Amino acid sequence: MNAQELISSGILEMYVLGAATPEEQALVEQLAKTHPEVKAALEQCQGDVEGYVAAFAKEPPAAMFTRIAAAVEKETPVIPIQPATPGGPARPASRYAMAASLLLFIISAAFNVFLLMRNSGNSSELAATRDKLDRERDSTKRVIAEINNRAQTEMDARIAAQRNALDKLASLHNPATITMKPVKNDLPATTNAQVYWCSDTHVVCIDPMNLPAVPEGKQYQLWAIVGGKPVSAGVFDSGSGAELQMLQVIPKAEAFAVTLEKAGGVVAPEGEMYVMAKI
Amino acid sequence: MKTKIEEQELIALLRARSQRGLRILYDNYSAALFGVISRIITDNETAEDVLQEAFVKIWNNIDNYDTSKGRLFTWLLNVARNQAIDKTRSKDFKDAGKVQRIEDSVYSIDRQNNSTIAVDQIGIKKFTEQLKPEHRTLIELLYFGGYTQTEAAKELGIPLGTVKTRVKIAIQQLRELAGVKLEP
Repeated sequence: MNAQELISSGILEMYVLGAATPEEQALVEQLAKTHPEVKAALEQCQGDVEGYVAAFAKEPPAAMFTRIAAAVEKETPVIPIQPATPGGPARPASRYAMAASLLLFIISAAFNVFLLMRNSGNSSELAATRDKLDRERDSTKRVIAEINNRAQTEMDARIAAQRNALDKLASLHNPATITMKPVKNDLPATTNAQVYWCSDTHVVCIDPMNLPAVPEGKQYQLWAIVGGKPVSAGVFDSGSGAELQMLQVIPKAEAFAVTLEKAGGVVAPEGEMYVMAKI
Repeated sequence: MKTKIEEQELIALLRARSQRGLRILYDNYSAALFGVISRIITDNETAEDVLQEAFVKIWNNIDNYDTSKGRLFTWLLNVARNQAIDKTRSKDFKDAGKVQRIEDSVYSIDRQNNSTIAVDQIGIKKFTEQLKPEHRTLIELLYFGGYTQTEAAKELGIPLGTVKTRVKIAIQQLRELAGVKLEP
């Protein structure tokens, strides 16, 4: 079937109504790529269906956004704004590795030149040595390429993390800042942690500030007190490297509190309360 | 409140998993998506569940959206439509007796829309009053009913070739009606 035949066949219309057979689908997608007139006709049909469907638009109930934001939040992993292990040392390490591999290459090349000179009378040995030299040079090149590659990947990951952090900051619309004070007896009076609570999206973020380091297998958990009952707002990291972390969406709360729980968190608080704040 | 934003910018925000992107996506498209879902699933509570599922799907699959295959809106509508149709085919849904026969749905549209907040009454009126019933029924069966061409041909008692011709004319009619202005 050629482009003109496809346009007049009714298959494009079937496609935009989601009723094309798999063969027809493949044909439409292929010809749309190669024939601008097919692409144009297809886009027109898509626009027609969009216009028709949009006429039936219906506002979802008001609470729907909060529900969706919470569901989406569950799908998005909590990433500390700064990577827990600062990326700093990675690059010098790569540099050492690169220097080491270069040194290896030089030593191996020098040795081969030595062999070459010693065996210069023997042409077959010479050819074998040259081959060996070539192979080693290739493998060294591959090692260097691999090292560069990894350095690039690390860099990309860090840029992505920074971008993510910026996005999170941008999404903190008019946050209320809530400073939680120590309630556990043996904590210094200066211990605190801060909750940032967005007034429009209701997203809760926490900055662990100077909460004491947690023992192995434990994690802090933030609770929102709603109608006198604790509702989990999620677990978070503490200690060096842990900074502002985005937790869950909490539409309303009378207080926030932090308890020490087993890693991964619990459904209802079991551990000791460290800090809290009433709103 | 709809936010004016370039489609490319919104896609970039969503791909960066930005909360602002989610807010704009919701403000600009939730009514249209909820409209589609509500045409397929009349039970309000289930329709709301499906809307939430559709948003999670969009959030998780935005990286797979291929701009060369069509505009973002078309892709979003397809995700919502497919999610709703899949729901009507699920066992739980059938067991709960929530399946509405598409013919019932086709003919109850006008009533249904009277009882809900329709954003674009004029638009609906235009399509429900001016689109020929044979064309409207066919679009409803295929798009909202998820019927295959063969199933639609059987349902309507017409040959498969006629279904293809009729669908072409139906879309042509939508195009003409889109340009028509009605007095409210």
